[in-house]
Amino acid sequence: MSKDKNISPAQMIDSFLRRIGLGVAVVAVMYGTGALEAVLPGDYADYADGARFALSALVILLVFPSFAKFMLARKRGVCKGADADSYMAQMFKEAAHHAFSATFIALIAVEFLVKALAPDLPTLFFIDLTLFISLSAFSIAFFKLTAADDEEEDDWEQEDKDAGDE
Amino acid sequence: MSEALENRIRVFRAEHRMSQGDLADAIGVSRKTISTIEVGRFVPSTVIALKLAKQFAVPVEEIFSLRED
Repeated sequence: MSKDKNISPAQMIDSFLRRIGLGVAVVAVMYGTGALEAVLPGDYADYADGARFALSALVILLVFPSFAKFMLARKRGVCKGADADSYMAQMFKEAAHHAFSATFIALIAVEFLVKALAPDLPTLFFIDLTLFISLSAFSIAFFKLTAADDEEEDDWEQEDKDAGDE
Repeated sequence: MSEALENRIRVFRAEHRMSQGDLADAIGVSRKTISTIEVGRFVPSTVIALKLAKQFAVPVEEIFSLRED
């Protein structure tokens, strides 16, 4: 039996949220590349455009399988009640709070930047830059909050395993 | 991390010889949720606390208590 078939709905939701976090990180890089496109000379801007296309494909490959599995399970009613209270779901919300603060600060900084330093840059550059900062803040906060591995094997688990082996 | 909330989940798990994964499956949460509650990094919702109490057949206060300094 495959590992996936044994996975619990709660475990599946955690994995889905992790994939979303990863997808958001890639989208952040996409916006960062978009901002770079506005300031780079023509040839390099073409490379950046190509990179954005590749990153779009990566986001779909990263998130879609997990999303499809989640939606299917939700339709079957398997995930009922398992998604709201988990540690990952709470950290997802906390990361969104961090991202909101970062976005607000970024917008103030961009306003200063436009007036003082770069009045000639296109509006799209500043939009991409702000989205890059916002989404990066989200993904960094999410992975920092969920990175620590607290999972440990207890003595009696090892004893039970040893007893099973004999 | 919650400084004020203590829990005895590990003790109850040992009594019932349950791994974090077994307990997680039994109450319908992920193993990460159990492990972070156990080490005090995550304060669980009332629903999870009640599910834990039901699983071990004890009142919630026997699992969770406020630290008295």
